[in-house]
Amino acid sequence: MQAQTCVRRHPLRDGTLVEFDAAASFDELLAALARLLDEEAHAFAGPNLIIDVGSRVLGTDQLLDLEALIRRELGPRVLQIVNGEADDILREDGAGDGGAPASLRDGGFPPAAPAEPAAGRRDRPAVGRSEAVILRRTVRSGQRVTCDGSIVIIGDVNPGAEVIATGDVVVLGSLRGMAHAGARGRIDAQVIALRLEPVQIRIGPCIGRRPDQPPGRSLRPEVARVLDGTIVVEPLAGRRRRPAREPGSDRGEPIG
Amino acid sequence: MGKSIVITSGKGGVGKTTTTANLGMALAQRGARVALVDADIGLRNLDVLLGLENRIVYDLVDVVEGFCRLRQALIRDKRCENLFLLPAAQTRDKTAVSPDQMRALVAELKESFDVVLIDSPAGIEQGFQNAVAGADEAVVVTTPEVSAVRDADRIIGLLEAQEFHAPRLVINRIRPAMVSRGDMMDINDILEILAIDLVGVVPEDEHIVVSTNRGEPAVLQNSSLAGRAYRNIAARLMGEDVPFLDLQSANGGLLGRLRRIFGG
Amino acid sequence: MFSLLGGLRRRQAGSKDVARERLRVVLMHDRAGANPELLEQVRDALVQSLSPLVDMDRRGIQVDLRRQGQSLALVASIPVRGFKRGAGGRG
Repeated sequence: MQAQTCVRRHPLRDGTLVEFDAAASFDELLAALARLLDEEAHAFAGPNLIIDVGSRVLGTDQLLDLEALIRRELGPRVLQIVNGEADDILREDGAGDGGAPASLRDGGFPPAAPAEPAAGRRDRPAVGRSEAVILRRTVRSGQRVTCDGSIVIIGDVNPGAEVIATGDVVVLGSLRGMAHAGARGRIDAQVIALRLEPVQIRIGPCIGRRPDQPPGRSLRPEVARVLDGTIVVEPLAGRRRRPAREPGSDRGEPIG
Repeated sequence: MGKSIVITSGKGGVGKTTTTANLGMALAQRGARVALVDADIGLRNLDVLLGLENRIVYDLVDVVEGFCRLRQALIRDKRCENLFLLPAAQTRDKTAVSPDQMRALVAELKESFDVVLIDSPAGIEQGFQNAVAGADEAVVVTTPEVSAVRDADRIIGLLEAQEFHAPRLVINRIRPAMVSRGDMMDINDILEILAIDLVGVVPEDEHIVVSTNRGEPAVLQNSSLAGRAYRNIAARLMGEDVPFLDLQSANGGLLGRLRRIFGG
Repeated sequence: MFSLLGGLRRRQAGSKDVARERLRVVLMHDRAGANPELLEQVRDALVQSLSPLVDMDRRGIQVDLRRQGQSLALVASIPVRGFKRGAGGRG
């Protein structure tokens, strides 16, 4: 057993679940995980690695540190960060009904035709989950934030940055990089931003890209969602729709 | 079976990526099937210069790590159907790829493309080693500045140590007025020092800034002097003998001055 | 008078000659693989090999690389206090 440590390892059918102790600091956890990976790397078989961080919220740097550690020690793994779902995951895994957690791919993009998500996960409302990860910072070029569930970013997402969530992506600022909502295949996920000017938006398996002739600046909050297989963007509080692939005539109008 | 050429410089900011984008476009417009490889992992830029940044789904690291097939990661240019881009990963670093992996990747590209241009990152570290790993030939870009020429010299030494037989030189951002005033090193000064073959001289050109803003390489504009220079370099890379003096005399007033410089 | 004229003429020639000259010196250092530590080692080696023969002011020793035509010269300036007696007789 792993006494004296603040990380606990549970084997899963195609991977490993690691539970973080609620009382420990992030640095302690990272060090303990590094030790565990060093001593028991062989026990981390299978492609999936799920880390239950409890109720804590990880910052971008912490997420990146965690990801870097795992990549260094184990090589490519499908990394999922979850909030307090260890018991559910172990129960699902043990049930043996093919409900092993589907993957949020490490490379930032899920298979084009993702496996059917586990029963129960699909029905979870996109917004209104009790635990959304909140990041208060600017996500800069070269940084990637991944999150199981929905993520709210209080700040901007710059070109070259990536935000990947299995639920919704909400940016209280300008979204100018890449956002992927519903990264495990949920087609009802949404991307919402105060200024929605992304290079690319992905929702579930769909990809929408910024038009080659960029439209004027977005001056009001907008939401991107999937409609009939394509990503459309519309004002958050309005009904007019425009396809994400073409400049919309309603772009750049003053609010009101 | 095509050939692979690495575009490199040592010093950053001398126009490697601009050169790669323009030569790629110029070669493709001549009818060659061209693949551009952005080897600057973590700091990708070639996609932006080509205006293709919104089409990236998979990147070089995804290919190397086996997440997707090479064909899936190649982005076809929106203006020229035989030009393709293999973008760099932005959220990874240079250690994500090894020279051996690059060698295999470029070898695979050479099977279906006439020319593979590899845009090297600045510096002489692993990113550079990766970029040159799969290359048959090398083009070194410099500007007429002491620091850039010094770094070019270092790079040429490294290339020669790796048995690139004849790296060729592009002198970028030459300003004819300053050269004729004696305030900028001229082509002969630089060639005398570096002692390698010149493949082209590109004048400083405001079109480059505009074309970078728009994501359209300057070779697409007939009025751009730099664009013309890049078209000539592309011709030379394909073995055509384009005289340098022709490049100068075709361009009117500014070129009168340039010709004097070349005439020495 | 001549040197003054020469100076003026040189300034009129523009800064490219300065650039070219600086570049040559820098490149000679680079190509020779010279760095401050290496020059320090050269200095120590000189001191060691010369000290049986020469009484020198060790603090005043300067070792540098300079250009001589197309090649590189190692120039050492060693302040000599005197030669050691009897040193010459051994050879």
